[in-house]
Amino acid sequence: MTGWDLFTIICSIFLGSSGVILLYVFLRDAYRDRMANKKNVKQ
Amino acid sequence: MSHYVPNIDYLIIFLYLVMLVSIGIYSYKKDTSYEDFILAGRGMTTPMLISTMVSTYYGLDILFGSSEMAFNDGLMAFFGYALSTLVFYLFIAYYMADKLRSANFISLPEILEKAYGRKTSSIGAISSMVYCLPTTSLFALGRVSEFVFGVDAHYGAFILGGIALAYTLLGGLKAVAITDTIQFSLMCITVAVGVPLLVYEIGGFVAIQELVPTGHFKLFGTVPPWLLIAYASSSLAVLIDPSLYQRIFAARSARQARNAILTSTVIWTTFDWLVVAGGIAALAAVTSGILSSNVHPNDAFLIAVTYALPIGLSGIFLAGVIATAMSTIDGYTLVAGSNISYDMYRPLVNPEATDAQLVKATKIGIVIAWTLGYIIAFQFDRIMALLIFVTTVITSTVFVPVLMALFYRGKKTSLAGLLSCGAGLASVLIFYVGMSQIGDYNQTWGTYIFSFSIGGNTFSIWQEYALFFCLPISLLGFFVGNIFGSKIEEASLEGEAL
Repeated sequence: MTGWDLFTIICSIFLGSSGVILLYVFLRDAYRDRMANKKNVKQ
Repeated sequence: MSHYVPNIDYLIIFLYLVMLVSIGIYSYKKDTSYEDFILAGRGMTTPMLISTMVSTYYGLDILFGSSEMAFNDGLMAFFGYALSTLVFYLFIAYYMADKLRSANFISLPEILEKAYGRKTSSIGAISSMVYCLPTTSLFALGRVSEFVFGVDAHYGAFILGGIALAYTLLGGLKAVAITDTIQFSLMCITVAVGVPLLVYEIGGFVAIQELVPTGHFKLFGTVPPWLLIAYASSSLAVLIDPSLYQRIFAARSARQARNAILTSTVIWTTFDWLVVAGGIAALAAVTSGILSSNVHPNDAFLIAVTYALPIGLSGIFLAGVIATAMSTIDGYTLVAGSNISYDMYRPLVNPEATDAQLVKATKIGIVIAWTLGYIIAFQFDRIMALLIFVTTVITSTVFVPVLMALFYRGKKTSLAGLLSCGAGLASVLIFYVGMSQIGDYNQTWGTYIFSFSIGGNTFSIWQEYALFFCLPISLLGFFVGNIFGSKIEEASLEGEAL
């Protein structure tokens, strides 16, 4: 394994996890906003 | 239909396209204000801001451009081209984001309007609109359509680009940001899985180094030094990218904008490397006979990664590739539409325009920008040539006046802005037309080159060198205008207006 292989693996791990984390945080925020809006409408 | 793409992948792509239109319908609000439509009410969350920044900048033009460059020239695509862009992003994060966000602007030409007046901002709006026309993305989307669906590039770009147009018209920046987040996540995950699999399939970088020319593993390759500098200089456009500015204006605060740019920069770096690694690996796959030898350098990355991924994931990857183009089309078309409405229609036709009129004008502008982009997209043979042209136009026109407005504390006159913008734009057009007349078309590099001899030495000027001449002309225009123009009221971007 060369340094380029290692760099590729590190970049892949970082990029893949960035995608998953951003999607998770986005969906969580969207769900919270929706719940907050529903609550406001009820009040 | 392509023999590289299994049937189940078509189902995944279809479901994905249906989802995009649904988001546009979900985000649609009948009585929206202009600021809601164009800046999502300046209330975007950090994940949305990061996603929309990364995915809008990282379109198929970059994906194909970088991988094409890596396929042809190797590591130079990363060290000579991509990294220079990232340095400029750091500059924006630390030195520009605060100034831009705290001044509460709506668009890039508005900076010129406040600093130099409406004539300058109109020229800036034209060049910003040209830069934001979805030319390169529609061109690349056409090529993807040919590969994935086997349809003519013109029809593919029309249908898929039309879907991006539809949800942008319906939901404005909010729909763009939501779709961008999903598109960006898909692309990150599939590239992160696909490229290592491709490298592993070939036998790692040890095997790749044996299969590609040795020049591919030189950090700056074998490309002529001036062309390398020209590619790196095109990254200057990042400092005045209207779409990036729009994201900064849409942030909740300057701090949020800076953090989003910094996070995006790290993501861009990793993404850039994986695309470059994929491009080099694709060449190795062709050399070793894994892929057909008549693969076009533009398509090599796409074909190689699709080949390496298992069924299902390859469908998500292709959906992500289509998404990458669509996220650039929607983001830039929205900005081009706002250039037409907010920076041309409002100051020149209807200064008292209401919010409803501006939103309507923006939607008409979006359709005009998309149509113009579609017409221009197929006039060029190479993505890089088209990309360099549009970045040269905007850099030569607004780079000097915008940077001077933000950082130069000395005397500034309306004439300085006007001459800087006008001379820069005119010089680009003259240079490109002139080179196509006196230069010789080079098939290998796909560009016009003008060669001449002085004292026995031969010199060559490439069409890509336009910025070396046009940017100094724009700077000269600024100083000449400052000498002969009358001083405008002292203003500063630190406060509310210039």
